[in-house]
Amino acid sequence: MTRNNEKIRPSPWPHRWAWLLACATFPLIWVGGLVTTNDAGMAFRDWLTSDGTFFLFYDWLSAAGDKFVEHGHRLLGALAGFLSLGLAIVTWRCESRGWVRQLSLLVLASVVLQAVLGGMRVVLDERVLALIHGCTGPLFFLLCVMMVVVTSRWWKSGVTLAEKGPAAKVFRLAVLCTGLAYLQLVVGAALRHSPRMTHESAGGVFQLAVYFHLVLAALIVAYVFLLAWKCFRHRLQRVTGLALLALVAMQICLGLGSWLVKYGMPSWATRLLGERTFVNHADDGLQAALVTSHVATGSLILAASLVIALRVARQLDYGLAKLPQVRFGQGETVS
Amino acid sequence: MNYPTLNKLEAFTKLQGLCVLAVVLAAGCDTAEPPAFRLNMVEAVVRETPPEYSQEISDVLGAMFGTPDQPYALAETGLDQAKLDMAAGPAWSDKKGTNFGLYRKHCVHCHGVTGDGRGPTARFLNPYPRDYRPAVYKFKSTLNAARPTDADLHRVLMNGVPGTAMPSFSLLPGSEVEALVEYVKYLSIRGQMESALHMVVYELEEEEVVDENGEPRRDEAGEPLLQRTPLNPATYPEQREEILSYLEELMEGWNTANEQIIVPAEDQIPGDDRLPEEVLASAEAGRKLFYGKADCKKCHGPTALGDGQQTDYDNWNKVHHEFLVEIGRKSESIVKRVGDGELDKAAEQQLINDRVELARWQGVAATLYKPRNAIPRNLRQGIYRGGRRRIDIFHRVFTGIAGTPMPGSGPASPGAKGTLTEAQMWNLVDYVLSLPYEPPSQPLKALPVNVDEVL
Repeated sequence: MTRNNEKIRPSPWPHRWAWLLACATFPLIWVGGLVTTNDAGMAFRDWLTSDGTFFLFYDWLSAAGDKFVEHGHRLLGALAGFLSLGLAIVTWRCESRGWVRQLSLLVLASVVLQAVLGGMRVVLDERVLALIHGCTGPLFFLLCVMMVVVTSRWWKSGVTLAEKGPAAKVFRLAVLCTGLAYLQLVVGAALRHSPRMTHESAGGVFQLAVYFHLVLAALIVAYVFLLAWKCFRHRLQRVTGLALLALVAMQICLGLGSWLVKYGMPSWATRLLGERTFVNHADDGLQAALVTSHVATGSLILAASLVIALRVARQLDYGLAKLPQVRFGQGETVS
Repeated sequence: MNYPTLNKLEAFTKLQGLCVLAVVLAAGCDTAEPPAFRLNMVEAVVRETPPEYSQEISDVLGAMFGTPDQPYALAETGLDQAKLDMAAGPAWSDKKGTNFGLYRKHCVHCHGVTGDGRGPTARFLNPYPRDYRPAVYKFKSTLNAARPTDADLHRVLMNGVPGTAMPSFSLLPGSEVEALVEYVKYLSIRGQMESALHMVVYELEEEEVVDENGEPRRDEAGEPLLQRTPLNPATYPEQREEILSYLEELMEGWNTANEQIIVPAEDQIPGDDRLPEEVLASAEAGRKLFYGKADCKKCHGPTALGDGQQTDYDNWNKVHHEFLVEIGRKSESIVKRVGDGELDKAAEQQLINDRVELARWQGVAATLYKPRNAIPRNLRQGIYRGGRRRIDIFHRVFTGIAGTPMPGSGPASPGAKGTLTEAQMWNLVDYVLSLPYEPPSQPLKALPVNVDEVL
């Protein structure tokens, strides 16, 4: 591979590797959600070992129940770690943009930090750390998605818009949606972990989390609808915009279903609709699937909002002019 | 009913929750403390137990029952220590895959560490989760005042409670369900013992203050100086004996539960091979009882849609309702006395004492949930919280639902006389089970204005 920037052709490998990492991280978030749903975080009381065996050599397939779920999470975490390392190596070898290289290092550092947080949650048996671990997981996923976007051929082609007014509004909306979606994930993590906290004020935390979760959900629905409409109207990121809208619609249904299978009908709803005729089952597949899907879809909404924000920012040339400019091939400029 | 005090305190609690979340997140692991059982402060305040006894009651309970992480099965309770160890403490699994901390994993978010029905999610649930401490259970096969059997508790855990947040734990291994049953009993016995300790404290008399030689100290008038007697069964053998006698008394209720199971007479149980006409005739007889002798329409309504009385409370909510009403009374009394003008020295001192007392009550009120009315069941939905088997409905009719306004129609104790005969109760069972299948127009016939004509 030549280092001559004037003649180099962009390598597809960083992009492929970033996709691989993002695809491995999404199930990691799923299984992480399942660990919380099953309260399996303390299935093993040790880390980096699992029941005294170094975790990579633990006989996972012979494990059952909580141990199977928790160890699956550990193994997927390790896979994400190795893929992050691979991404950093590939990016440093094949990518000439300095900030992308640095971003790949940030991804690697994040996965290590995330693993340590998860490990400390086990070693210290501390639920607050589990909550923080649940909040930082989606941030790592966002970094992976960011790597996918910035290493794509579309990004490198650098198409800018002639009329920037409407796109600027879309960008601002997308950033707002990303922020709200992340805040919602943090509140959701508090909502999921506070019921199992034994602190005297856990009830107050849960109550606040429920109210904030509902308010944020209403805001996200409103802003995502507005964002999708503007994307469609101004022919900007239409597919992602519609996908985001569909995800939010699905998320509302999953959220209602999660509450119903976990906590039943609230009294006001019972007065309006009557009582449910079915009995919830603790630890059943429906509950696990609904609740965990709700968590995972939250991360997808976050990722989709970020993709729109990043891609529109690219089209607007926002903040990118200050980054090192590298020329590829025949006059192609990549920032 | 609106409770202004409660609403204000609720808002404060929300703010407090936010602060605690911020502090916990900021301070991280340093704030982690082992969970502790909390005292029943409503009972302490209502029974006027002096605040200085709170810690001593807590200490005695700790010595008798241990902590949420390390429960202790007192020999007198007959509880199984191994099962308690499996159910208590934080959730984890040993190398063999045996799960521990089952209560913390499955129950604590609703029923709370103490089993007081005030877990973090409880405020949002309908109905509020059960408070185990009074040892009153709704769905059981025993007489109204009796404790439930292990089989009753086991059945509720396995079947869940339809129409509520209480799930079925039928997917859990049998040993785990049994451990949970044992732990629920443990929390109930502990709660009952806490009530008994308030009685012990109430009966304590002041003791003389003695000097280093063991001689009583006297005041200027020559009267012996008195001080409160601490609650300490380790140094006061008579307290120990009294506590053990209370324990024995409350354990008798649990140990004799199996003797108080309602067993219907064999010859009165309707067979499964009845003809449809026989079932209809039985249901029709039940219908007449529903609107007549059994007077079910009073609560379940003339349409059986649960639209009868709506203002009553179950025991758990009634305690809190009355507590809040009493705060209102105390508050009004203070306002009135202040408004009345000048007070003499004694009245002023009384006012100060009452204000301190009111502050204590309000502090406890801040932790309560808004009381909810006991809304009678809509019998036309086919949702039976205590189970849908014929025998389950029979038990509800026979013994009522303990702790709720639902009365029993059978004898309250062995040898007593009930409102209905067993045959009539089986008629009611047939009618109740037929209600979800009546034509939609059927309820309209039995409106209050024409109920007499219908019958």
